[in-house]
Amino acid sequence: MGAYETSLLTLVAINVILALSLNLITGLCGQVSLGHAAFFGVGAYATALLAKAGFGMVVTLSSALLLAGAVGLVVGFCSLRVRDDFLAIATMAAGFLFVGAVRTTDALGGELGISQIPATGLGTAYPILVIACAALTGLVCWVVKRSWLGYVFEAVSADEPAARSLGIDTPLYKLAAFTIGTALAGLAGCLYAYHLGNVGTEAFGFPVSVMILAMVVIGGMGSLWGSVLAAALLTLAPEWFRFVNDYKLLVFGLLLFAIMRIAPQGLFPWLVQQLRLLRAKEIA
Amino acid sequence: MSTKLMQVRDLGVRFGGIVALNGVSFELATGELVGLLGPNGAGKTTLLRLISGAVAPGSGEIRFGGRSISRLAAAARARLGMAMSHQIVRPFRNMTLLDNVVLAAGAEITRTPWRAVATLDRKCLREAALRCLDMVGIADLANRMPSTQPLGVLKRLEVARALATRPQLLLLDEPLAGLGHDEAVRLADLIWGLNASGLTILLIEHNLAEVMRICARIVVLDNGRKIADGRAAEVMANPHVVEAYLGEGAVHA
Repeated sequence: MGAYETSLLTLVAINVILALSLNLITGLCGQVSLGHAAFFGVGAYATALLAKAGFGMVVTLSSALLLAGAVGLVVGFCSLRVRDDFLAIATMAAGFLFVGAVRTTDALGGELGISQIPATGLGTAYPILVIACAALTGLVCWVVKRSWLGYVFEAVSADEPAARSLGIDTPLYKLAAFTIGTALAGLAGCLYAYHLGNVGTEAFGFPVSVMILAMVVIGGMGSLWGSVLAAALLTLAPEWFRFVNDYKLLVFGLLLFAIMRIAPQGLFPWLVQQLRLLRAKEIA
Repeated sequence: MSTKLMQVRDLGVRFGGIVALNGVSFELATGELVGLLGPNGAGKTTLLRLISGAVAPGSGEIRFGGRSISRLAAAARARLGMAMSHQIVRPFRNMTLLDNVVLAAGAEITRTPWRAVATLDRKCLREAALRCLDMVGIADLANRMPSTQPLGVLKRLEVARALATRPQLLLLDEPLAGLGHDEAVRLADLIWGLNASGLTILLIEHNLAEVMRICARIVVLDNGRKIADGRAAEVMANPHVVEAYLGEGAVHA
């Protein structure tokens, strides 16, 4: 594999982590977030600063996870006050706040961002680490989805008052979803900072949040393989097709619209359904 | 048997300018089955929602098991042993009837998220959940999705889900509405049987025949006030109650 392909694969793996992490919050627990890129950014900036201060990857990675999770917990408190569209707006505001704060803070590099982040020292093994992290994230999400935590998330997403009337402490569960999901986004941020060697606010703005949400919705809300598939698709398409890169938001918007119209359950569940129909036809 | 399980004192609430409930007081003894009656808009559902914690009271106090619960959230009240079946059904539409009930039966597991994430086995409470579904007569529909089921089934699912939490006090909001005659009699029998086995029940129901058949005591609300409380036959003979129901020169309190 050439350097270009390796770099692309690393980027796909990072986006898979992002999609999976938002899928946990939005897909499984039903809490819409339009500011997910901010937590990605928190992880990336924490890594950049700490790495430049001379800390190794163990420190930067765990700090990125913890810090993004902590910020996510704070934003998660929004979800206790507002729901649905209002939560989408509140999280969007959190995203803008992050970008605005970073841009005007010299210690964070301001408009220029932070460059020359020291490498991990892993060399060519780095993409393997990123892929391993993506696999681990997948495992975490699988455990969450399979366990009673995912069960409660489904209930909260379907009907929160009904879940409360069964004695379920729904605020605690929503905060758990936000904390785990945003901590994983922080992990993606850490890996991204090392991968690129520099960070700037444009990588964590509103369009990126929309892209992550598009991955979750296109893949299929709550579907883990769907998130993986859509993350790969939406990362590779702009690389392979020039016009997609030029009109990213337009293409993603159209794709979202098409999915909503043709397969509202999402791409992966739709594919599974089509395969089943095909097999049923073959048997018949 | 005559210990007080719940006391409602001088309970009142207003929505905007409308007084929905005004100075309502009554007690429930452990093991009672009480019918809560009243014309439409009398405040019955509001009273149940105040007790369950879905609505915060404007004034007054609710005590349950000897402690004041007026300030507790709905989930905390449910954990103390209250369960409610909603008048407007609220199944979790993304899971089967059985999964709806299994979740309700798993209160111990869902108490905290860390406990929930450590429990991977979703099959463990199937038997208990199936028993609850069987009690209300919909066990054979266990694997269906709520969206494919008629209202009558969803009404009974509400009751099954409430039962699965193993409550001390069951609040039922029109469980018989939408059921056919035979189904209604069967569910009323079940409610009576549950009460006979020691469960305290507060029942809102418009099906007067069934209420009179199974409830020893009846509380009547009208215009947000309690107008009668006592033995079923006596209450139904009360001229105020008859007036409230027939509407002829209704009392505007």
